[in-house]
Amino acid sequence: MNAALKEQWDELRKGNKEALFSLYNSMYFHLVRYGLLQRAEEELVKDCINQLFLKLWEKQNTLSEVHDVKSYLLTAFRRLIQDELAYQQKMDVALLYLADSGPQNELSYEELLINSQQSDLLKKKLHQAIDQLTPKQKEHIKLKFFEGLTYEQIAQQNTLSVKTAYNTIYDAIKTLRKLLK
Amino acid sequence: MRFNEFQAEDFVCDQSFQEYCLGTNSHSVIFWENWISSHPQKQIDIEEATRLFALLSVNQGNIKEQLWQLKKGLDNSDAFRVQVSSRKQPKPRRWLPAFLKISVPLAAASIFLLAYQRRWFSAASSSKNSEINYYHTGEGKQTLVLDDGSLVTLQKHSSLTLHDHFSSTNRTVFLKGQAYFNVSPNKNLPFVVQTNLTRITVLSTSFSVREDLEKGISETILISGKVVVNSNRHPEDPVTILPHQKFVYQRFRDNGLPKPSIGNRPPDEVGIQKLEKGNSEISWIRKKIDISNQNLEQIAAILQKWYGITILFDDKEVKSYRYTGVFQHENILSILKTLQMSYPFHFRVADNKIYISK
Repeated sequence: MNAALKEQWDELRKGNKEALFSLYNSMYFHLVRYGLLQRAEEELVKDCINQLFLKLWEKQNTLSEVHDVKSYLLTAFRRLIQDELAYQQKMDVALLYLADSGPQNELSYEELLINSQQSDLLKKKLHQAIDQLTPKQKEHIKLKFFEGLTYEQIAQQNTLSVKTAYNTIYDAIKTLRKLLK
Repeated sequence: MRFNEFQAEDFVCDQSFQEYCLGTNSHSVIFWENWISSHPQKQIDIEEATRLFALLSVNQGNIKEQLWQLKKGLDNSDAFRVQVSSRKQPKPRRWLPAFLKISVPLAAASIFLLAYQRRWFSAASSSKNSEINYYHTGEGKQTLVLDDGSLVTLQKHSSLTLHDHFSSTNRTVFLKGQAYFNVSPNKNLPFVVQTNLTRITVLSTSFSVREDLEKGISETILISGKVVVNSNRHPEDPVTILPHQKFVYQRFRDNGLPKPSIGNRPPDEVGIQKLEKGNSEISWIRKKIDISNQNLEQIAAILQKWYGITILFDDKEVKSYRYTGVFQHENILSILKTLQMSYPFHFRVADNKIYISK
């Protein structure tokens, strides 16, 4: 992935707009997940991603050579979110965020799922529903729906058959659906 | 088909349904949009599946829609930059050959120009693999120049998705809403417009499609050429329509609501109507454009507004060229080509914008 990103980056520096779009396609879901785990709201995350790419395009001529494009973009993106939160006067959130930046303080997927719900009732329901899942089911659900892996990739990571990976997720979804009704 | 048996959890767990929700695979997007609309009885399951997927993915969003937002943002910032400073082209320019400046009899010239233009487009498209394959209009209409040289004018609140590898292995697009098409001829790759209700195969032509999903009505109006329409429900029964005919397809709905009707025709009916002269249904695209001794800058402003495509000037001088003429039933490229005949200038299409120069 790194080599492909590097190539897109270098093309972007030459003023190739298609490279900007390719870079966007390669990075979008990484950035969304990263932003969400940094406690930012979903709308803000999406907005900051587009701001980041607009800025990259504006600054195409002055962009320097970068070896690790992914980390570079994630860092730039984190600063953008930080600025945006401060700008929105959400100082408490921004301070909280500044105080404990770093991967060890990221939210867990479960916390994130529950936090992202608007209503307290749904939060409670979701909490109870997730509690019914086995640790394996929780892990698989995260890989499938948050990390966006294919069943083949999940099977490979956990040395399982594709069928087992699918069935684990399917049973979990069935449980969740029943409990969230 | 196996999907008929699906419940919400089956949809959520289906790999291609997930790709449809995230917009990561055009083929899946087109397949599911089409499938969902032709299976209204599964709507509740689909809605539940979509909600559950959004919840579990923490609303990560649809990448096609997000990329389109970025594209809009870029266009705005580009337009802003053009306003504040005169534009410097970073890329080498592609001019039409100089001998085209010589005034020649109109008919011969336009044939040649068309042929040339097409070659130019295919050369341009082979060198890139466009990442933008989703277009969406808000309050205004917009004209798109596709990689194969075809023109599409999208009416407001409409969207167009191009199939993966559009113009290299296929020319299939998926339309929601209303659009006017001006298709560049290519016998080997038929141009296919897939809508929720119908599938329209085009054999070099211009036509307008309107789809109203609320009412379950799809209309195709042919201006010139020849098209074949298949309804998605009865694909085995194609209908060929001829110029100035309107094809109406209305889907039968069994949702218990009163049936909408066009005239007195029963539901799920296919009908062909002859289009009256001066019919207002295509007036949104067929406007008489009257130019009397206006300069190119003013003309560009009129065309830009009417067709919904950005027109930029690479040279200042060319803005003051003056023209007179009346245009009716023409697309924007043919208007520009006709203007070129009376006093020459150059234009090129790049990135869905038209650049005019000396």
